[in-house]
Amino acid sequence: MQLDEPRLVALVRKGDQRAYSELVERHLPAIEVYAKRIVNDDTLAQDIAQDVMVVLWQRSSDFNPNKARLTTWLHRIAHNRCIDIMRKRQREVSWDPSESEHPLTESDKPRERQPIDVALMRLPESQRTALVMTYYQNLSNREVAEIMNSSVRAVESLLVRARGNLKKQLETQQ
Amino acid sequence: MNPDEKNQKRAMDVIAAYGAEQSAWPESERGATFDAVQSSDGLRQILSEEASLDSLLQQSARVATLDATQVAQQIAHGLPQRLTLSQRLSRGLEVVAESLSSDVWKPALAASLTLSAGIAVGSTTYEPVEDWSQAEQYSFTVVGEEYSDES
Repeated sequence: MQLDEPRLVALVRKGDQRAYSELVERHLPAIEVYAKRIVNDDTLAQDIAQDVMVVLWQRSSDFNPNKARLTTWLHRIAHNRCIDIMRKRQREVSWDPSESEHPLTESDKPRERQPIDVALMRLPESQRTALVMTYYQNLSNREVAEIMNSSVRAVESLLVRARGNLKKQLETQQ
Repeated sequence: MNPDEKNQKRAMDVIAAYGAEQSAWPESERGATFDAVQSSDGLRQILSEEASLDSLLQQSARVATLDATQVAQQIAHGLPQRLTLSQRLSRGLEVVAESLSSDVWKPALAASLTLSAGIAVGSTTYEPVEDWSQAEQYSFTVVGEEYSDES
């Protein structure tokens, strides 16, 4: 029988490593893919995903199951890490996230980067975040608004602009 | 704007934001958006345009490569948990409770708890008297009464 997530988090708080493994297996892949779509750097994305899992181990007492789902909490941490890293990089060099600095990983090579990936990386950070969270991570508009410290209307506005920009870019690429 | 126009406008906004997949629309607006699309050629056209973008979004190639089991083991074995004060206290109490449930330590723990309770009660109920004025007054009164009886 599968334990529900608040129960598993309660066990993690007591140092239960099996409960922790169960939660990492459930959430690490989604967080890693999310970070890859946002920072466009596989190595960096893996570091971010592992950092998020460290927070789950060390600070699980900060998670309140009455306020949010665990996935929302983890996405919020991942989002903040991504933003910090991207802003730091932008300060250091004129970094363009659409131009990945690292080679593709073995698992990505066979499919190569699609035009949609290039177009996604050229979106402004906030539009890309709103679209990725809603479309790929299956978070609700309220959850995305909460993560981005914004309103549902503002998130919808970002989504409309993101989709409009994607269409324009894909037309230009053709 | 009449209610129908309002519904159509909102349905257009929903599709423009969330795409053509009904499952992506906000749950509370799914029915109304679907109904609006059914009654409008314009909305059906917009829906098919957004469906093309959705199919392109599906082509995005990103996969997870980290080994979750390995990551979990490395973190859980390599890093200590940061405990809050209440967690530390509750863990301490758990240790005490476990000790109490053990038969070997029961008599010793019971004896030490009884002794501690005795000391605690004794030290809180004993109050040394510092104000002797009332006692002296009382004794003078008694002595005075005796003298007055004699006279």
